[in-house]
Amino acid sequence: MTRYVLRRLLHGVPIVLGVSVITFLLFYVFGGDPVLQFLGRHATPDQIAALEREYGLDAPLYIQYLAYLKEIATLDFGLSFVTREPVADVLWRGVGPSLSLTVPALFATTILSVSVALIAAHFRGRPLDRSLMVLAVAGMSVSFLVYIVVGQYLLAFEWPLFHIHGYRPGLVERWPYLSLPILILIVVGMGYDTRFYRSAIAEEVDKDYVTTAYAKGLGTPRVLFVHVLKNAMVPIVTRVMISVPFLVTGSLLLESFFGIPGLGGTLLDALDTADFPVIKAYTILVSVLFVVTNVLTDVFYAWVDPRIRLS
Amino acid sequence: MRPWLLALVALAACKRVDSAEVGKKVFHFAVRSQIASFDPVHASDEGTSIAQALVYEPLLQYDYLERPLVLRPLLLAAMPEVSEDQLEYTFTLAPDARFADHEAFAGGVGRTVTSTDVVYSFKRMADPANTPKGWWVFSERIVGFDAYKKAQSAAERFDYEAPVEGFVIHDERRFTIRLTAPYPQLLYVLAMPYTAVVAKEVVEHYGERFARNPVGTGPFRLARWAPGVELDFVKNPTYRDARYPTPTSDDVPSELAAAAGQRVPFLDGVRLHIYPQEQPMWLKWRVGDLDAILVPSDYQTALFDRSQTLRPQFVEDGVSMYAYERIDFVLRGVNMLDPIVGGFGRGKELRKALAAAYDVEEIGRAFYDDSITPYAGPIPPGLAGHDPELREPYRGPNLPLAKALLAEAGYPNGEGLPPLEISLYRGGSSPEQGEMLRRQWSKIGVELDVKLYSWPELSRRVAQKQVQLFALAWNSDYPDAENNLAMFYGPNEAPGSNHFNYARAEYDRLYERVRVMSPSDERTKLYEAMRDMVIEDAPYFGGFARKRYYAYNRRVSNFRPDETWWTWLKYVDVEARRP
Amino acid sequence: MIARAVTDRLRRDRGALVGLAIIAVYAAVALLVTSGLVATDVDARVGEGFLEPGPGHWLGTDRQGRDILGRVLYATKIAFSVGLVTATFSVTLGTALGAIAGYFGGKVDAAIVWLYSTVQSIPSILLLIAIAYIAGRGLFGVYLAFSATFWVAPCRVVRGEAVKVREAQYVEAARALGYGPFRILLWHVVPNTLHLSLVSFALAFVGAIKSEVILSYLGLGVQGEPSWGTMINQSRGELINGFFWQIGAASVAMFVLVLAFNVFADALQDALDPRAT
Repeated sequence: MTRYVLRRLLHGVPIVLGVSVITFLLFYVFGGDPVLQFLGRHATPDQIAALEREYGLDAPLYIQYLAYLKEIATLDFGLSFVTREPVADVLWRGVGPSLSLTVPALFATTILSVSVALIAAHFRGRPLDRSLMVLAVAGMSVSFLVYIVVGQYLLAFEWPLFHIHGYRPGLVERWPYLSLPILILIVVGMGYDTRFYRSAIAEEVDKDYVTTAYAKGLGTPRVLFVHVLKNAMVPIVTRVMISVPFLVTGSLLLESFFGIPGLGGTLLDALDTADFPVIKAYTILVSVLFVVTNVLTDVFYAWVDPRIRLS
Repeated sequence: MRPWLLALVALAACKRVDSAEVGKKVFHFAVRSQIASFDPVHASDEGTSIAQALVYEPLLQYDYLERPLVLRPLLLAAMPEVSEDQLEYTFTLAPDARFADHEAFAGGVGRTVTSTDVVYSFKRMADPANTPKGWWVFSERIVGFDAYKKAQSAAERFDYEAPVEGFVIHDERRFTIRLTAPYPQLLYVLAMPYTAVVAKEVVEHYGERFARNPVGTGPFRLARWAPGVELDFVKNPTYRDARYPTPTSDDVPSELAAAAGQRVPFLDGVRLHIYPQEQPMWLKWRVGDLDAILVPSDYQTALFDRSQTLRPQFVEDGVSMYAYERIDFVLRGVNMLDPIVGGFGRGKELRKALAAAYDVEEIGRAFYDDSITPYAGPIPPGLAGHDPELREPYRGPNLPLAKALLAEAGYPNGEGLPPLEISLYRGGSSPEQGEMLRRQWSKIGVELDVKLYSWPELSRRVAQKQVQLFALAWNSDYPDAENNLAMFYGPNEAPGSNHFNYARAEYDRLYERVRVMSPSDERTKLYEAMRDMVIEDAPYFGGFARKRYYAYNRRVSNFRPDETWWTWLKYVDVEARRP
Repeated sequence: MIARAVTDRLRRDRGALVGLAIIAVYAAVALLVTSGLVATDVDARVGEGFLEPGPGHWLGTDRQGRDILGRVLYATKIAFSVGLVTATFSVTLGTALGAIAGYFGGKVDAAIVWLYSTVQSIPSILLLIAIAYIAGRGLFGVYLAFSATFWVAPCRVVRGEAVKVREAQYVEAARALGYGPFRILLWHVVPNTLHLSLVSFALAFVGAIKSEVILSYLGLGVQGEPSWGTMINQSRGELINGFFWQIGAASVAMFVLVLAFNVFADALQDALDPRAT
């Protein structure tokens, strides 16, 4: 088991390397200029040269790439070009707020959409199923940006149910500020998830064990929420796990509209100022999480389905 | 779903007013961008300048009540003495100017500001390890300073003790700056945030973290910084005895003059909120969580009508508005090195044709609620050398002239002219402004491609002289047209401030003359001559100045924003928050 | 025969028919715009800025005084070109790579799996921004950014199916007859994964139209021509001023098309699903 996990993690190394090459090329070779951006409108050639030296941007590209690899190996990405503080601090600061936004949203979305999907699958083909699915598809068809702009205007201003904007770092104080963005995330995500889970569950409800369960006199809720749900667990967990590595990235649009200091905003600021150290650390962080969750997912499969061997 | 929704609503219904704030005078103000650094040598953008001005102070500031701007001492006891030849400026520090208390100081008590602190702070602008942005304000101006910078940058360790001939310290409170040539803008520079005074103990105490831990001489201290969200400042209890200015002329509104002679700051604290998005900022101001905002141009229509009268619901709410006239130079620029639109040959006729087809009033109507002031030449309204009556002979919209000029340039009806390309910032209304320009030019048969970029990309393309046409908004660093005229000085070509890469020997000679001249009629004459050269060569077109509108709620008084300097925030007053 | 059964099933699904009809109407508008019959001059001023609907500007005007209706119609063409190009390119690429990976297995498979895992592990917003930066501005950048990110989904599902098809008897038979691998891929593997590709196509189409709004928000969307994304973005602030026409028109136009596509894709999925009865 341990050996399997280690080996699978090792398989992730090429992926992290691939990500490093792609991001390096995309941003170093083709991106904007952090030096000019920083110095602004009165830049002089020797000031530019001095700052390039300071940032290590005057070295040949392959040297810069090797330095990047070293940074990955040591997990030390140096100082942000813009704020001159350690990149780890910049990212670490954003992780909490981003996760506070995305984790509850993922949980709520999954629980709600699996429940709705179970009900829809039970009434498969009947009017209730049809209307739920139409609702889900309609929910998916509205632009994210429209949800945010209109949601903020109506639910926080016209009818002041929620905070318009802001964030408090306290473990309790943050939730009033996060509730509207989380609600928006749930509404946006539910359409997709409900549809997906419904089709996964619909395959189950016709199976023999369901008929047997009913024959044994079990009530519908019990059959649905225990027996069917258990058997539909693999697609559900697969879908949840796909989004896990990206939870940490937060949501660029929501964070910026609601003033949540998460990693989505950090990334956007870094892109706007060509803050390479932050971009580099950010992409590596996400790709490592990606590899790790993939391995975890496989371990989970083996656990629920003994036919899959970890070998 | 319902009980869960109720729980969310209950959570959200928690009270809005911070209980800690009740009974206190806290001014809630908004900035539009992230605050990157509290190191004065990094202060270039607006948000950073605002935040720093609460904590740090330069030697000089401006008069809060007088317009046009007049310099006043800030950390100084009086305005500096200037020698006959204008090469020596002697300063005397205010006796009670002191740093805020901090553990870095002996006994934790902030000490008096000395001449050595001032010189140390200036030297920090020369040290590449500080990644300074403002070196241009001292470059080639102070005796021995450039040589010092060069020698110390090359040395193993940057030595702050090494002497600079141009900085002469007489005693704790008196020092002289010696110039290589007269530098009439020196005093403006000493009112800029770059030159604010810091204490060596604090810089060394914090090392790399100095940029996030400001300790200055200012009226407030940074109490809390939630990056990306907000910054809390509290009153500095040991701030020196500073007073609200007394008006020296009659045209100061009485509500601004009422506080004359009183001790400042009035506020217990300031909270700066960070708003990258306009909608939440506006909504927060509307519900009273923000006391004052700079009105986003998209929302000006919501605030006032075409005659710039506040709409009734705002009058009812006790809202006031202040129209700030920026020292502003917004333009569409041309890269003079471009083979088609650049140069002094037929490119010049082409540029004038483009200018004549450009309708700046329409831009003003659609994007600025008719609040812009178009003007000819690079000298903004309010500064010596500006002529409000002056019009470029090729001022648009003048389609017959544009067509004639286009034919003269060798492209009748646009025939033979390849599509032009304008590089714009991809945010705000600039993409739409590009579309409008494209439509206006299509009327004379000129095709335009609008290319949008992020700031870092745009800076790179401009610096590498790769753009053909571009847009620029230049907010003056100080109220002297020299700042704008420098934008057309040949040696300042990209990556410097001369984005046009405009080079005309005659102009450069004049610039070198005015650069060392004090304000005088003679200098204004030369300014005008330079202005007319630029108009004649048309390296840009459609220049205008914007008004920016500040809106503030009933609670606020003594509010007269100015964007050239920000140490005026200490004069603002608000009513204490009620529970 | 399969095709017959599928069309029969679709024909019985009223939702699918309505969806298809709506898509057809939009396609017709897009064609009319392309052929220059409708919305010919979307930059023209038809009156003052921010007019309410009236003759000559049936959905009002934007702040430059341009006709919102004309711009919404014109944007249909942009939506179709973004959707079609992106979906065609990404699904073709994804199907080809997926079929090759699944059929050949071994090193080829490992390389392709590595490629898509790498792409997948970069946050898509970052990849979109980076590619749109590089590809330059405008439609081409949008096509490329979407194609380069959207091919992963079809690639994964087709690969999964191809692994199964490889073991199927008719493929064994084809191999026994001495057919080359590319002939087998083209004649046996790809046709048997076609239902997945078709559904992926519909999803990519919808995904492209919706993502264009986010790219426009970042200033990297379609430029120089009106798209629903740029219209929504340009009118974000107008809500506060009580002017709903532009954001409303663009959002509704997009909503209806995306809804129709989603409904149709659902029906298609059901009809193509071999397990459905």
